[in-house]
Amino acid sequence: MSLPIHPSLSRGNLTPAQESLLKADFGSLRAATGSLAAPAQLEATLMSAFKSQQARDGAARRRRNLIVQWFAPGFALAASVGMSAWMVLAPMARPAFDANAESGPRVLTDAGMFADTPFIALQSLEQIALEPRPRVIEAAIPRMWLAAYGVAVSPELAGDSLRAEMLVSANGQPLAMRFLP
Amino acid sequence: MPLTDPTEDLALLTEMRRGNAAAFESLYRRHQAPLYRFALLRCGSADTAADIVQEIFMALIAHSLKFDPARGALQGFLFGVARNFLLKREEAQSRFVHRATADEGGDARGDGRGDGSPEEMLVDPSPQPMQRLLDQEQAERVRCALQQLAPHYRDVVILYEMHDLSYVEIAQICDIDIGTVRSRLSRARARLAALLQADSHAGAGAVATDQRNFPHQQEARP
Repeated sequence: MSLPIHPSLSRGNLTPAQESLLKADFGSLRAATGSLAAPAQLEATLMSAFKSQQARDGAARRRRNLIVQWFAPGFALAASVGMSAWMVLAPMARPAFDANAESGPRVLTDAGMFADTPFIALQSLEQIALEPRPRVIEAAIPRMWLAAYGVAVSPELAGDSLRAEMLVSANGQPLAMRFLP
Repeated sequence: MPLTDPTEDLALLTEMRRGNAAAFESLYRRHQAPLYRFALLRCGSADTAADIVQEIFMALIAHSLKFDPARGALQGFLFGVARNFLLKREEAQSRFVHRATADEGGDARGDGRGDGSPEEMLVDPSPQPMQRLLDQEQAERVRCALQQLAPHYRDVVILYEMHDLSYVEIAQICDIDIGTVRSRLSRARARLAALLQADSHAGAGAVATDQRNFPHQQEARP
């Protein structure tokens, strides 16, 4: 059936009569198809397929678990051995003190002294190097004395004294010093 | 307006993916009938409609469908899958028909689409042979009229009139914008109204059409 379409219809403008006709017709189609459903045996087929798929999925899961169960401890052991060997054979190098290294200015305060603190040069390095018989002496020095070398000193502790090792020349001139705890 | 609760659908789908057979059964029972009816009205064949429902749920079982809850309800998603399966079948069928036509040296154009005018495009270029599917005369008449619409017009009318879906849901299912849904629906309803009106006015003519369309039915009558 091929019908010529009126221009108003091609634009989708329905008359009230056509609207009610469509409503009634679709109502009857709804009523007639409302109880239709897929064939009953299809449900049984799909349930069977679902169970088969679950069995396949379960088998795949078990295979994965088996692999993890058997191989994971081996991998973990190998990783531990490897890590231990690396820690033993390649210890981390401790950074050595390098007087010539370009580092930022170190500000020492009188609260953070410790024994392995490097010597602080009080004279020029050339003068220290030229000194024929330098010696190290232990001394107690007033904290106030540090201020002369640019170390911050808190006013409350200015009267205290510190233990230090002094590198002195043969005639007793301080060349370098370091603090002791 | 979804026919099923999307939250419950999602919970059932999650359970189903965990291997819960009862959840799958529930999902199937909730969705099979609307999908079957959609496919039936869309393709006009009960066997194909059943096959489509089976294909949808088999794909769901085999985890080959990628459903994203953020993009819409499961029901709309399944309608979209049904539509895609139907389109694939139609495509394969039309390839077969075109090849057969070419082999027989028939239509010179070979595309069966006529002059491509809007009115022409409203009509299904390769209508399937109609079998009587519904007992109720008026309903069968509407179904036959629907069958005469081009598939992309049929989609929107069925989803809108028979499944109460909104423009937005239809747009998602058919992968078109809302404006296109509106225009297709409007034009398809106008075409249907014209067909049904002419059919009801024809009276005796409708009987003649019925005899042409359903010869097997006539043979069965006393």
